[in-house]
Amino acid sequence: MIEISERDLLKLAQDLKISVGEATAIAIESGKIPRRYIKNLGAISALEQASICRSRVLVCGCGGLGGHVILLLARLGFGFLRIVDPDSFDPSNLNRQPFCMEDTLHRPKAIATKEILSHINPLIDVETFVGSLSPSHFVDVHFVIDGLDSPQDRIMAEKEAIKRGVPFIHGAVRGWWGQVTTIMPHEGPKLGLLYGEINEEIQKFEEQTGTLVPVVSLIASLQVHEAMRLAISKTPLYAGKLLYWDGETGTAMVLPFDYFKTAQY
Amino acid sequence: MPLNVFLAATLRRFIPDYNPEKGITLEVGPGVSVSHVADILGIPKDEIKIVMINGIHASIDHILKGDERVAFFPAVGGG
Repeated sequence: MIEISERDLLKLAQDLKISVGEATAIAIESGKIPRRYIKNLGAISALEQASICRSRVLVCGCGGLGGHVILLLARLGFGFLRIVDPDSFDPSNLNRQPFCMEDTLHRPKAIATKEILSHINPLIDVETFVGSLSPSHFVDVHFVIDGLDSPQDRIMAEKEAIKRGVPFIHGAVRGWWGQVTTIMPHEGPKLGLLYGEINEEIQKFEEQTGTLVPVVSLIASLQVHEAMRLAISKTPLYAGKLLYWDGETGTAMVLPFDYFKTAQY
Repeated sequence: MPLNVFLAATLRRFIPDYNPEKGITLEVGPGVSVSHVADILGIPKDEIKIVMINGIHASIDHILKGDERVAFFPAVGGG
């Protein structure tokens, strides 16, 4: 592999009228790699890096989970990120949301995040929507990653992902605990089995337990780890399984989520 | 050996001073169901989404010998 400059890649994209992610993938396939991806190699092959550069991802939410997810996807080189979030950054987000900074406060999360991403990786395209998630956001992506904050929104997003035939990488956090599972569109258990009847009393209690950044960042990392595996056609780690993180004992458990298909209650 | 019950995440709020390392020790005879153990501890069954017995998933109707390690899991919903 020889190195190619980012300026040359941006020019190649412009000349060929293709996305910069696609231009980067083509360059890598012909033996030229931008220096920023060199340290990914070894763990993954150059052709796998090219697949990541071609991957298109919808990230639902740009807060705690979504923010950390976006940050890692951009570093890995996922070529297209669609970011949807209706909110603006609030001082109460500063404890855990990576794109919430003194100078992004009170600005729409999606837009401020896109600006920061341009300083992290110019070799990716970022599309933003300030508003609620809608079915049109699920078009033309390879994966959907969950950075939402309520079971109701998650089940809606999962349904849309299934409709489009793409995996939905679920993550959720609260207090010292977190969970991850990958919902595959054509097989396996769905989130409704896990959440069951939405219990407002539990949700109210959960809101009082706070959200800690080490747990958020850990769960987001596992979601991106799974997206990376899917992008390079490796078996998903958490399809049909629920990874459950207990920060009080430092234990990660992988539970048989598909058991719910036959659960009696 | 008594029964050893572990609670995950938000279920811990039902047991003040719950020790996540040690769990709860409970003397029950053989023939008691997992569901009954939840009742004894005052944990609403609709919040228990997964039951594990000695590390293997099980139904809430499972009948215990009385010396198992039982773990209850809820679902987490924040983001």
